Amino acid sequence: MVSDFFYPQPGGVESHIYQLSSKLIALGHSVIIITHAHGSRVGVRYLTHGLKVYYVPFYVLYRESTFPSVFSFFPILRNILIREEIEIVHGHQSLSSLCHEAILHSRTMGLRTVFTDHSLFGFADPGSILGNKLLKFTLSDIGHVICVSHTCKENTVLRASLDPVTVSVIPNAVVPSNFRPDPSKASSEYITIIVISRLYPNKGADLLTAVIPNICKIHPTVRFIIAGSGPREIDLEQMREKFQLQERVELLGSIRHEDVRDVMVKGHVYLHPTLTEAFGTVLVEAASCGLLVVTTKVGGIPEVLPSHMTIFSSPSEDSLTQSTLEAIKLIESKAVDTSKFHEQVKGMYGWHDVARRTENVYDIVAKIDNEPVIDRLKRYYGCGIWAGKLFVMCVVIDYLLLRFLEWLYPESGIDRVRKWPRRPIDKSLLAGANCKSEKIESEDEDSGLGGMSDVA
Amino acid sequence: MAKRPWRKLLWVHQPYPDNYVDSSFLSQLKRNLHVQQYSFWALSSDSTVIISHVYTVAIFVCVFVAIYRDKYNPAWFASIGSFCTLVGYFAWDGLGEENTTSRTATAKSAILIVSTLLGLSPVLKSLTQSTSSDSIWALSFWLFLLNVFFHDYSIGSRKTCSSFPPTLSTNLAIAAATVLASRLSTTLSVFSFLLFSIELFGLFPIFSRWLRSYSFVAHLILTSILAIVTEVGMFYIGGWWALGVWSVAILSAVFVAPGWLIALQKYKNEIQGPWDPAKPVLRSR
Repeated sequence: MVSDFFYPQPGGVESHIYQLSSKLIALGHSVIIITHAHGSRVGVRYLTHGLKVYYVPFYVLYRESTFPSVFSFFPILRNILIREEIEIVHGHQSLSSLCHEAILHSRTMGLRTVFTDHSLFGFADPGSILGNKLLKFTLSDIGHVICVSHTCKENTVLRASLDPVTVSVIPNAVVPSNFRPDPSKASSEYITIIVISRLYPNKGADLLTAVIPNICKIHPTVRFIIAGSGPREIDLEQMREKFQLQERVELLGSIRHEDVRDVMVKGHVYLHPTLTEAFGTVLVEAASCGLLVVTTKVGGIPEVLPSHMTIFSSPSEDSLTQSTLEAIKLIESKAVDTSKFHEQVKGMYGWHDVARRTENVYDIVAKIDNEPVIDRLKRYYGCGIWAGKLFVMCVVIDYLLLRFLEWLYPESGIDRVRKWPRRPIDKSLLAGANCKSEKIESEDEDSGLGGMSDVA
Repeated sequence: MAKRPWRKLLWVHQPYPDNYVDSSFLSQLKRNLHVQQYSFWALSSDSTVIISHVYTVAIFVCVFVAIYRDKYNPAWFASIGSFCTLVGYFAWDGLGEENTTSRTATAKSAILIVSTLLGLSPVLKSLTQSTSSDSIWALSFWLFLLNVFFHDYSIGSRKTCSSFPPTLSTNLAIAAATVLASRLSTTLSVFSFLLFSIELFGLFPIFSRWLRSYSFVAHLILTSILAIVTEVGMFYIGGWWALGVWSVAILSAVFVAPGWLIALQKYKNEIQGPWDPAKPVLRSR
């Protein structure tokens, strides 16, 4: 697993990688995660069940993405891949340059590659055009691609000009036990509407600001709890003051993912005003907590939940107000039984299922034979008039770099790691391993890796 | 037993592989939804809007050459400019344009600007004394180029939002005029030249924009007058050769460029689908 996005920073991709990796380990695979260093967190760390994380020191450019240096990642990546005897490299998220580099280099080394796309991109703005070109470069020679929803698949196939057969749809999942409903927490005299979203324009924060006063005016017994922060937070605060809704609209600011469930169970309805969404894990979490979901019908959202759990609206102020009022009416008249949602969601989404389906993808990839270098170059050449030549140049340099690295650090000189024993889940051993990796962290990168083999 | 047809849903487990491609794949894809069809003559007549501004800049450069190289009296140009400005003002005033400022207020501000300019002229004259002429030509070239790019070509009222404020292009042109004026030898010529430039870049665009919204034929007539003046100016600066190059450039901008744009339309490939961020519809309050 390679991505710029991993713990300790919070987020959907981060938890996806973590959950998937731990389930794959449970299925008997050996999994390591490679990401960039976060502050003082440099070197190797162990998480639960011997999930090993390499924090590679790289300069962070923008929103936790590393600087796209194309080749500088190759030496250490090769070292890690050989040391860990890796067969399949799985990159996550198209904005992560670490992931793109890893896929390029591992293809050069002749390894199998898989890529997971978690988000949607348009085709019109300059940022997307550049991003799509890069994606086309990386995915020209990918083994298999995983998308989190059917809409996301259509989007990725178009962006990277892929054959749709090489793209699988495997949704995200939730840990149902972390999102158990608790009807005793919700108020009986008020209808509480929960919103958990980063307050950005593309997450529909403007719609939210417009809808709240409408609903509060029509319905005197409705309260809002809004969690999340962002540039539009100030608008919400202004709206709250303008309409004097301080008692009825509670702004929590950003909350940790662990606390999401505790906020959700306080409510009856979950409102999701977003303008773009590939999957919307938060909807599944809300339904799992026993909330009726009101959402805009955009992106992959219509695929996520069955119609008895959701009320869809178009992304307009009037439509969203109508849908929310409808949801309030359903809750008040008890026409919808939200108590069964948890069990139903449990049957729909589980990480074990995701891991099993990802395993199928790995099986497909493992059967693909490596083609001659010239065929690989041909694929890159077809990427575009100028881009094609540039890409071919990059790949050729990558091969030369590989030869140079093979001479500089011969494969025989790289120690192989002893694998974490299967099912040794002994609390004391785990604690000991954690201590050890803490120590390694203070040393420099190479010696940190050198000291690795005797940790397990 | 026949399989149930595939549905585009994630919450049901369907008896199809994960990489199954249904016949409905990409059915929501829409192409070239918002593409405008252009017509040649509409584009061609619209291009005169840009051309008339380019003419303005060209006339200004010709006037500078006349003053700087051939020692024409700049007061002549300022007088002609002021006369035209007055004619334009009374035409604008007389044809029932709703004025927000009274005539006295306009006269007051005009006198204020002229006096300020008169006071500043000696300072401006020595502004670039320590800079070589070549640098000034290069600087003013870039300023004029940016002026042409950032000029507000929008039709109608000022309220239609353009991404650049109209003051930006005016400021660029006045800056170019100022550095050019500082090359002149006497205070009077600096003053006259700057007055002329303010009339040409500050007031004339307002007039021509109004004229265009008033009557497009009048705009075409004005553009033709500007064209004749510019052709004469070009002939005066560089003879037949300059006149020829200039005419070819203008004609290709008016006739060849629109045709080219239309020919390029067949490569247009806009893709829209459910993955695009939705546009929120808000009631304005």
